[in-house]
Amino acid sequence: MDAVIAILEILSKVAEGTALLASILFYSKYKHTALKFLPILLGYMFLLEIFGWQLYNYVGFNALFYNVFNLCFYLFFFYVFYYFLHKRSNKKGVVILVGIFIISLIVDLITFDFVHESLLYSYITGGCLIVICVILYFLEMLNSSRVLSLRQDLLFWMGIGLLLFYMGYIPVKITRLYFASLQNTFMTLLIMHQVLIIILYGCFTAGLLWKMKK
Amino acid sequence: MEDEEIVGLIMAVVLLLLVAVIIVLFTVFLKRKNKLIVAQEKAKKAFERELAETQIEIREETLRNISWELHDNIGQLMTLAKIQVQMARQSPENLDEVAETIGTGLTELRALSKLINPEALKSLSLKEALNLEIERFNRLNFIKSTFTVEGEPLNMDQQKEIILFRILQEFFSNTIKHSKAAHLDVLLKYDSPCLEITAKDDGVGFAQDSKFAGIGLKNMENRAQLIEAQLRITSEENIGTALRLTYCIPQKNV
Repeated sequence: MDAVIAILEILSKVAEGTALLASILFYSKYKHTALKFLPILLGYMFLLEIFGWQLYNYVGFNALFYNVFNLCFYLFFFYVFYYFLHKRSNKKGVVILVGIFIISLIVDLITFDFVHESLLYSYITGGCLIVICVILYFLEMLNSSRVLSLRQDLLFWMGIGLLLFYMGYIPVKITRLYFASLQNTFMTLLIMHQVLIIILYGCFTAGLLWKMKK
Repeated sequence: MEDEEIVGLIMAVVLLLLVAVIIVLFTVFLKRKNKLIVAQEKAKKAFERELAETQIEIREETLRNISWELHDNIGQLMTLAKIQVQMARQSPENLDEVAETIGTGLTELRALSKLINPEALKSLSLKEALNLEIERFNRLNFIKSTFTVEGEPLNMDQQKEIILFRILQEFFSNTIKHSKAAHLDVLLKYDSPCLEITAKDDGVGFAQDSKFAGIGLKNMENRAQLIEAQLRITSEENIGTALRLTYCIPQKNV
């Protein structure tokens, strides 16, 4: 079990690193769009994954950095979907979703210690809202001629990755809350988490590679 | 049920859910893509059919014009030359006049042969084709016409230009045949990425709801729709008819 987890952890870091590398290499393909901050976000995430534990050992906490990352991640993708959605009603929908996310964040800030604890409600709410954004984007795509060139659509691939990640990870996160004390189940959930990370960043890399071929 | 079994069950459900999502996404997108491809193929075929029909109509109209021109212009000049030759038997000093008439006839003939050369016709732009059409109206005294071009001509798809030309040709043909107009003014206004064409006559016009308006304009409207151009024809009885055709070159998505 431990060997499997170790391999998956390495693979997930490779997937994250590859996505970061691809986002830097093909930056010129999307630098004029709302995705222009993607390398910064992926760079932050990669550094956090590599030095997360060292950070914990050095300063005594690392939840703060993860919380900031999650907050940036969600806000970045809300902005990206707002930018790429064309229908006015869908744009308004994204604004409402951001409002809901902020409310959940406020609840989290009241309930949890932002510096030492991982935020829970805003993470789950944000994940669900991102799934809604992806569905809105897919519906728009299906009703336009963009569906003909979906392989070259970077946000389509990102959408697939985000959809699969959050649909898989939100139940994992909730289950982890209740069964975290059980060593075996914790390992199973960790495996699932690593697999989902590989899928997410694999999709990001695939989208960037297709974008390069365009 | 043990806690570990519950976790296992949840994970199995999540995995199944993810697989189902992938399958559904794949099926829905593929189905939609195929549907769109079929629709695009249909639209392309319809456009090609309409384009071929338009080209045939332009060719027929050109033949009709040549026949007209041969009969009314060059034929008249040759008849005049024949009369002048007969008269020159008595007064040979008039032979210069005969030579002049034959010279004019030859010039007209050359102009006509140039105009009906298929290679020359193919390479004509909309502006040039319209200019020739207006020149012809003036030369044959069909109607006093003016042609104005504003702005820098755009680099347009030739197939679209053919359709635009045919719409205008149909309008001119109606003006000459039915409107009893004395003047026709055509304006081509290039304003990148759009072209705005205005054609106005001072003929008898027609009531907007008349049967003539319904049938005659339907064809033009269909063609305009085919190339996503906006066509507006307005008419007032005893004042005239005006056509306004706007076509914008589609901009590629960034």
